[in-house]
Amino acid sequence: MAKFIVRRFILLLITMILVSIAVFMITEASPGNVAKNVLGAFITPEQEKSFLAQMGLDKPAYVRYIYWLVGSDWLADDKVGMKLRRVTTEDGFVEWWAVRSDGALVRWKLEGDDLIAVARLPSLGVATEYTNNGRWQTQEDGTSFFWGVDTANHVVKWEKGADTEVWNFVIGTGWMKASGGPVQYIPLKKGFIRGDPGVSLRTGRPVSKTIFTRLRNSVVLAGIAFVLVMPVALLLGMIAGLKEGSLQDRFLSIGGMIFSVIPEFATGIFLILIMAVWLQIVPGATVFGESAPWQRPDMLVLPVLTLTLIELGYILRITRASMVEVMKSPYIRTAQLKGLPYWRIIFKHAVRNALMAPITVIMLHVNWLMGGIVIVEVVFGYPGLGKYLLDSAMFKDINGLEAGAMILVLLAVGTQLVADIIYTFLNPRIRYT
Amino acid sequence: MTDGESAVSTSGDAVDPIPDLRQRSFFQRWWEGFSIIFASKTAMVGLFLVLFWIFVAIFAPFLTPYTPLEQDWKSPNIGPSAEHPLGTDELGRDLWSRLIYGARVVLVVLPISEDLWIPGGTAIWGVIVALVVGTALGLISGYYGGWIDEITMRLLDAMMAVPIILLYLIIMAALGASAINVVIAMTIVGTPGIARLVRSLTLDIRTREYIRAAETRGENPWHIMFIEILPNARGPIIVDAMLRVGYAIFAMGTLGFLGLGIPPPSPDWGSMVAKGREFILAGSPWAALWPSVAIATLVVGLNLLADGLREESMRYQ
Amino acid sequence: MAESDERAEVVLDVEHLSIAYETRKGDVEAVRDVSFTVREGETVGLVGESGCGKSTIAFGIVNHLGPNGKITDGQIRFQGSALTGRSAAELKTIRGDRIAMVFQDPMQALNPSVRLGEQLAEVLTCHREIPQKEAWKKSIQMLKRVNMPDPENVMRRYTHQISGGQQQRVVIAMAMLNNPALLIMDEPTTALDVTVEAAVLDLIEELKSDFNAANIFITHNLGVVARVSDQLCVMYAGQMVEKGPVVDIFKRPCHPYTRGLMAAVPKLGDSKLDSMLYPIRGRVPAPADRPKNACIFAPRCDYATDRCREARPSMIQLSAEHAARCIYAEEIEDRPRTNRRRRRVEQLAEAKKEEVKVQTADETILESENLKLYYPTESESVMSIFGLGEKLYVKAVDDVSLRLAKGRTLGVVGESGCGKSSLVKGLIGLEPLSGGKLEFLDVEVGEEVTHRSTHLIKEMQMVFQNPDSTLNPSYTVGKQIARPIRRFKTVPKGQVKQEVVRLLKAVRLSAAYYDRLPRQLSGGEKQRVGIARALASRPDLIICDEPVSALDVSVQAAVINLLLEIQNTFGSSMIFIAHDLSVVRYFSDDIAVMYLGRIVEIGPAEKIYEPPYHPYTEALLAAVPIADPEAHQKEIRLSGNVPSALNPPKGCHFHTRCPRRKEMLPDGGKICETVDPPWRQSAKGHRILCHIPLEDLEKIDPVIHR
Repeated sequence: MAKFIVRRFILLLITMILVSIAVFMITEASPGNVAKNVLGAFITPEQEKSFLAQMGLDKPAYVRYIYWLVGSDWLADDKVGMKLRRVTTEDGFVEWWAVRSDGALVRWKLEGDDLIAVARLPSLGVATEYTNNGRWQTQEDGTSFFWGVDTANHVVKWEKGADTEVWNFVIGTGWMKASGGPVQYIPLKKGFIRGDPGVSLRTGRPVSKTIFTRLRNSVVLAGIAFVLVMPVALLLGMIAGLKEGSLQDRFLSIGGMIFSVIPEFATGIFLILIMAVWLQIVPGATVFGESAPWQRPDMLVLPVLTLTLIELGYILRITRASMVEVMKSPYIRTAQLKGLPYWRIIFKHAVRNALMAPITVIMLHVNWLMGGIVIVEVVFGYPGLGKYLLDSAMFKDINGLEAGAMILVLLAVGTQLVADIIYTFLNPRIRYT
Repeated sequence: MTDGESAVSTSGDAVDPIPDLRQRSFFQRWWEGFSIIFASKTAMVGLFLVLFWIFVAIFAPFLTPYTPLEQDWKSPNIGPSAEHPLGTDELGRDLWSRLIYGARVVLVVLPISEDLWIPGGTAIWGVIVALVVGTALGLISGYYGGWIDEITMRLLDAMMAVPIILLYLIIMAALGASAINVVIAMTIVGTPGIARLVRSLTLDIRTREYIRAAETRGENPWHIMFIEILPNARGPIIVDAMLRVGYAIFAMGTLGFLGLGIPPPSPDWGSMVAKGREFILAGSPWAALWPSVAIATLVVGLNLLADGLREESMRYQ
Repeated sequence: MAESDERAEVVLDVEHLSIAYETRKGDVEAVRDVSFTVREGETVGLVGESGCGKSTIAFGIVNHLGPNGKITDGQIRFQGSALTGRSAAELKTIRGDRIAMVFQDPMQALNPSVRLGEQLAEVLTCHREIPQKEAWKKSIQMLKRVNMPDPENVMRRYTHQISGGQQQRVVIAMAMLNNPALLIMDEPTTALDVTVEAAVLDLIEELKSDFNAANIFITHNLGVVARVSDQLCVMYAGQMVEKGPVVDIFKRPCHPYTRGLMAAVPKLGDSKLDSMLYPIRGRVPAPADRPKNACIFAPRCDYATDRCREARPSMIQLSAEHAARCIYAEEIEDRPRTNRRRRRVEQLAEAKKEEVKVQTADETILESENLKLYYPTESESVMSIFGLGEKLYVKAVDDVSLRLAKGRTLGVVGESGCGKSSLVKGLIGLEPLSGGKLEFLDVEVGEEVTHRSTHLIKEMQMVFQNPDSTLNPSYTVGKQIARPIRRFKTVPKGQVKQEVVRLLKAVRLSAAYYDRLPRQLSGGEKQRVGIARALASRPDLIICDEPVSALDVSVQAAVINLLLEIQNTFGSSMIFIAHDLSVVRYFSDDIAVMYLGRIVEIGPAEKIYEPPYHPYTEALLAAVPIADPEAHQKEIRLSGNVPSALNPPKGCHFHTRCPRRKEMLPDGGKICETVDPPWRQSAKGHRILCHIPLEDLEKIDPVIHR
């Protein structure tokens, strides 16, 4: 069994790596343009080029993938010749600094031909500026250059007198033209596997923070639906399976089928029309607060109901099929011919075997459920992970998309792993081999 | 041994009366299988729903005086009326026309570019292409086994582990919205499932003795896979394909709803719902209601049909 | 025995029972007008081929016929009161308490996810007001009673953790727990190997005398029924055709069907050289096509006259207890057979004479030396994921050397898992050999079939076991036989169809079969088409992998005769694999006995069946059920389970179960546990792989006395 779990775990890792590469490759091949998405349609080619260079988007895809996966700071360390450190400010932004031998944090900027160092001692918190021309180095062709950390989280190669035109875009301020100096950028990041999914191109904020809130919101939504669905669906499914062919069975299984095959958005529309427009039981317009959408439970009714109906039908049908099969098996016949009471046959001999299939299938279904959640979130404007993912995909916000994708894959494969483990405990045939 | 009767029973004059099992014509057999539908009420209801949509899709141009793009700016967002049996959308386009032309794209034609289309609906093509690719992969990895199987299955496992919606999002976001790309996305999403099914069927069938007989004749692997194995796997594959058509329509609707499907202004049920949704609370629910009803009835019809058939064919086994 | 003067009390009395199933096309009668009685301490055997309704009767008795089955007529009286028409609640108190059942496949009949102990104890706690603890204790006692090793431990186990024979013991124990008045056993040993079957049958015999229950024993196997029954009921197509004391019926079968059945199976020791098998022609009619007002067996009967087709015959009493449903029952032995039948017998006899003349050549066609076939398996260790750690092999075939002469037949016998099928796969090239040398037609053929040259491939063809999977369901018979003809180009293109028809004739099928699909054929017909397909390439060597074991008895004989005839006409050599020792003996010239991947004894057929035996051969022979209630057989039973081929015992593979080594070797046969046994040459071509000296083996009594 240990072998089995280790194997699944390795599969999980491989899957995640494959998916992250696939997402990168596909986004690479896509015709859209991130710069236009971020900066609007009216930027000049120079502005675009400068922007791409600053974002590191001018580098080949594999380099970007490696930066994304394992970070770029370890590479930049060498160039600068100092250790680099990531600091999160009080208002949630990320800053990168070089660490001086005395422990002070340093960044640089270029004023004319002068190199200005901005240094901050951790204890003081106030930055001091001083000229730092001593760090200029000379290249073979005689020009002077210098590698350092700029104020916008890049490691930058400055050249004296290079006089390249640089456009800096500052969110909230606009374009700032600067000239002279930066010829090469390495955007600094820690890398996904070191816990840094990067900064969202769409919002300019670190992905990790937003995505955590969104994930929590989605989990709340799905969790409520799950808790409602499971007992009801399993019970109804078993009743239908036990009375195979009866009127109740037909009603339940056809009803379940209808709910499970109608697309979520259609179910959502029907529910809005019936519950909100016609009966007016719940509010039709749903505007959720980003941080705590559950503060208005009346608004949650419709999204939860939509999810519930879809899952109800699916689990009901799986359970029914499994129950029907078990009730036809020879060991149930044995139990009947042993003269056991009906309920003992059901609970002792049938239920456990009948639940084995649904539990694994339901866990595998998490994969599918996520699709439902995305749609439900879009239909009702619920600020969950699904909507975040859709927005990121439309915007080609690679960092947001990758992080969301990784979370979904982790959840999907993780639940499969859990399903496998549960299955081994339910099924002695696997447990003892 | 001399000619004539040995210990063996059937020979010469001794041939037993053979029950009349003469080969019936293909059509007769087909009809016999088909007639099962009439034994099942659910299958009949399903068949009716499906045939209705196929009918309106094929004869769409004769069933409405409007084209799906014709705008009537004087009467946007109105309810059903004599002129517009199902009402109009926010641009005053006739909803009935858009609905039945939408069915056309789903079931009857696959638009390739603005004025080029091929027969077979987008959903149908999505299933067919996935079926071809998945069947080939499943046969090969199931029959050869070993490292070919290992690698193929690990890759497909990885694909199946990725939430389907994510695959759709990524693929459609990357490729851009068009009918062909919807088919490509459906192929990529559908292939692993079909490959798994065909592989498991292949693993089962290859243990049969007629496969061993073929192997002892030294037949080449392609003959064994496509001539000996595939025809015997067709039953479950066809049932699966039927269910997949239902799912493909589901997926098409969902993609359209997310704005990742067939691009506007082409009439697509999903995007019609997405647009119409904005006007529900403004008091005109029709533009969202009708396409939702359309997609619901079509997928429910397909599933009722498949369910009824399966149940009826199993009843007296 | 049943004929004792004081007859025991009648426990079950079935009168004119008819059972029908609802189908789409209306009711179909599965059982018609069946009457019999079962007495205390007596076993009634219900015997018949598949589809004769014997299991339906069993489920009819406990009224468990499923949603579309129903009793349409007749009475079932159990201990004096009627069972039919009882409420479900009443039936429940009787089932499992007064009436218990044992099923064919114990693996399926036991719940896989409930501990065996609980499954046993619940029978007691549900029917008797017994506390759980005591029920548990009683269950352990019962397990001990059915000779289960380590019963306390077994109680805590799950079904899949014990062997098939042990599972069946658990099912039997479960049935006996409440000391039932009636025990119904539905093919309880069919799924088991011969040696295990023998032990289970012993147990059933013991329990009968201990518990004095009335038993119904359902089987298709005449040998088994001869061993366990007192009374016999022969079923055919839903009707009872003959009943009576088992000895009477075997001595003097009076219904043509019973007579046919007995003439269709070879007795143990019969050989093709000195005896004949007579098949019953035709096939069992489907329930819907059974004649209502005629003798149901008439279409297949060798004695049938027009009178037989006029009315359904009633049971004719031949003695106090012996009765048969045939108007000619009393005079059957003297009745003339139909002309056709007479002619056939004459021809057979003539053919036999010719056949004996053949098989003179001593040219070798196939020879193997130290053949090895190992399957790699993955170990349980985590490291194996990365391809590290110890590599494990299932040694399916280990050091097999044999030689087959042209025109002769080599039989290979052994229980399931002994490696006989793997050996065949290795010979024909479906699995790569792991070692050893293999020569076919003087060419070395160590490689897999895909690398062999076409002319070698066509010379070695195979006939398979399972009629339902031997033909590809998607293609017509004609196409399937034509495929090898086209592939090996045995005839010019234009003549393929003629050649197919010729082959169909050779296997006694009319040309009308050309366009049939496999599902339109009966099991025997499919098997014949399979033979025709193997013949199509005109092979020198035909390998038959259990070609008759999945067929009904009456059809088996036809297929065996056909194979013999083919060998005769075409002079083919054959390798014949089977687990049925009578059939192998009948069919083969030479026999190899396999155990755990090794040949333990090999030699001319007649030498194998008389001393000196290998101890394993001796045990096999002692276990074979013989279709003769008066035959005497030595009782040698093997203990323990067959060891895993993954880790076969050191030294002699058989030492863990060998009943002889302790008594016949100095110091309890220690040597067997460590040293590989030597080959001992007994007669020309007869070798035994054993540490026990030949002289001692020769002193052993023959297993069977008649």
